[in-house]
This record gives sequence, structure tokens and C-alpha cells, in this order.
Amino acid sequence: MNINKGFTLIEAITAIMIISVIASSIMMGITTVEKKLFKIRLKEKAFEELKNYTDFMASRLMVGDMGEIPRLNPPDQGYKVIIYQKLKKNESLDVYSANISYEPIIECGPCGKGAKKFELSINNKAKVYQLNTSIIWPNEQDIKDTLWLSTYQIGDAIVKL
Amino acid sequence: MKNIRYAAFTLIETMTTLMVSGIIFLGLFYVFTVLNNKFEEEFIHSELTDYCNYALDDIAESIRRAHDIAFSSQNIQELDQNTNVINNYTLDPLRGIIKNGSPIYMTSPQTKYNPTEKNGYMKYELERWEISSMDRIPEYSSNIFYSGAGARLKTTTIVIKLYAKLIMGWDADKPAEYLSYKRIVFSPGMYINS
Repeated sequence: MNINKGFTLIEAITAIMIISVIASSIMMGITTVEKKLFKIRLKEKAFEELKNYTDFMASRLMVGDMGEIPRLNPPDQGYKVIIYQKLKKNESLDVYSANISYEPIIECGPCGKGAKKFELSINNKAKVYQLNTSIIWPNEQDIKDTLWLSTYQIGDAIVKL
Repeated sequence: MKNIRYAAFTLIETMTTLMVSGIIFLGLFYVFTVLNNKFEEEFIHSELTDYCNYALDDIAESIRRAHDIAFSSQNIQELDQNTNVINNYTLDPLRGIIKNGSPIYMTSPQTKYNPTEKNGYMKYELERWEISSMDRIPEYSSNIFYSGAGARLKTTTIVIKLYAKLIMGWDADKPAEYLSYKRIVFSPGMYINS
């Protein structure tokens, strides 16, 4: 009697399925890590842009360049800035843009909200403003990510000198 | 003569097994190599980013506290009230950002500009930088917020753009990625003196 021993169809399909699951898990893992790394890079660039913007805004307050309270409000959508662009020689590919904005500026001292925090440390004639800025950008899944910065700035300081 | 039969793999079975295992091994090796290169690239990218941010923050700090600033497109100087140079910054693609003749390096965590391995493998390179006052950069006249600022403020706000290449190979002309870093710094001393 001639018996040919071999794998059954079920065994072969099971083996192929296990290999496929392992291979796709590895591929998915790699893709997820790459996306997360890219998200971190976007966040780094967004933070750099927001910090530059907040510093500049603080400078405007410092020299009294933003008019009287209530201060100039930004457009509803904020200001558009490019936070990341993949550069290939002179071409820019994959451009990601974000919207920077700020909340209406609050006067903190000498008599405003938060005055206690400053009245001992600064000349009580100085005005202190609370500055809240934010940046919103779309990530890979087009869900918005947001970063906030909050700082205090002595206003009109240089003008008074 | 007695015919003895041994239970064993045939040549075809053995060859097939070897080929399948070889393909799986090569696949795994490829995945490992790609992951390893990616990890290495990310590590070097972070190292370069840390270095550039540290150097730019150092320059920004000098600009903020300076009595006055003197700059060209390639160097920037912090001046005291007698116009003596306190700090002078230049860029050298081989040595990195130079402060008063010595390369800037971070002490904690220790990061210094080290663009090339001993065997010639190139990791990254600082290409160039552009130092300019804000009023001379067209990018800021198209942005409502920046263009709305006063002329004197824009003249005394310094924009530093630092361009770098992440090379990760042997040929500097074929970088893996081009990177850029930016600081916008207002100089109160320069504003008062202007």
C-alpha cells in the first residue's frame, strides 16, 4: 500500500495565516512608530513657531506696540504659519501649516486680576499683562493637535523709560 | 540483495525548506536593518536638534541682554555700552557654531558638534545661517501679525535661520533630510539705542 504523507490543507492554511499575522503585525508596528515619530517632529516645530510668536508678541507689549486695552484681537482663525516642510533641494514637499492665535490680553497689575502676584516684585506703576497663545495644527489623521503657552509681560516698559 | 529504505527528506523537500527559510531570514534581516537605520537616524536627528536649539538659545540670550548688537548675514556680535564685543558668534560647517573662537557645546546632556565619524561616515552638517532684521525678510510682510508691528520694533528684532543637512551616509550631496531652525529675538538694547 502506497501512503504519501504530507501536510493537510488545514495545517497549511493555519501555517500561512500565522505567518501573515506576524508579518502584518511587524509592518503595522513599523508604520505606527514612523507616524508617532513624525507627530513628535510636528510638535517640536509647532512649539518652536509658537515660542517665536509669543516672544515677539511679548516684545510688542513691552514697547507698547499693540494699542490700548482692549488689545487688538486676532482673526477668528488666527494667523496661518508653515510649521513643517520637507525640503528636497529647492523644492518644498509635504507642507504642514498651522494656525496661531492669542486670547484677548488680560491686564494683571497693579489693580487687575492677579495683581497680588506682582505687586511686591515690581514697581506698582507698571502694567503686567497675561498673554495666552495657542497653535493648532492637523496631524496625520487630520485631527487637530493644540499647544498652549501662558506668560506674563511687563507692558509699555521701554516707552516709560 | 535486500533493499533498505530510510525515512528522510528528499532533495526537493530539503531545497524547498532551505529556500523558504532563506527568504524568511532575508526578510527579517531586511526589516531589522531598516529599523536599525531608522532608529540611528532618529537618534542623530535628536542630537542635531538639541545642539541647534541650545546654540540658538545661547545666541538669543545674548541678543536680549545686549546693550547693542552688530550683525551681518554671517556673524552676530553682542556689544557693551562702549561698543566692545562681549560675544561673537560665527558658523563653521566643520566646527559648528563658534562663540568667541570656541565651538559651542552642551554640558548636560553632553552634546557637541560632531558631524563625521572617524571612518568618514557623515552624520550631519550645518550648511549655513541667515541673520537679518525682521523688516528685511519678505516672509513677515505677508503675515498680518508681524507686518502690523511698528517699524522700529521690526528693525530691532533679529531673525536667525539655521539650515542643516541630516546626511546619514558617505555623500554630503545626498542628504536624507534638510532641516531648518529659527529664532525671532527682540533686542531691547538696540531698540533704546536706535
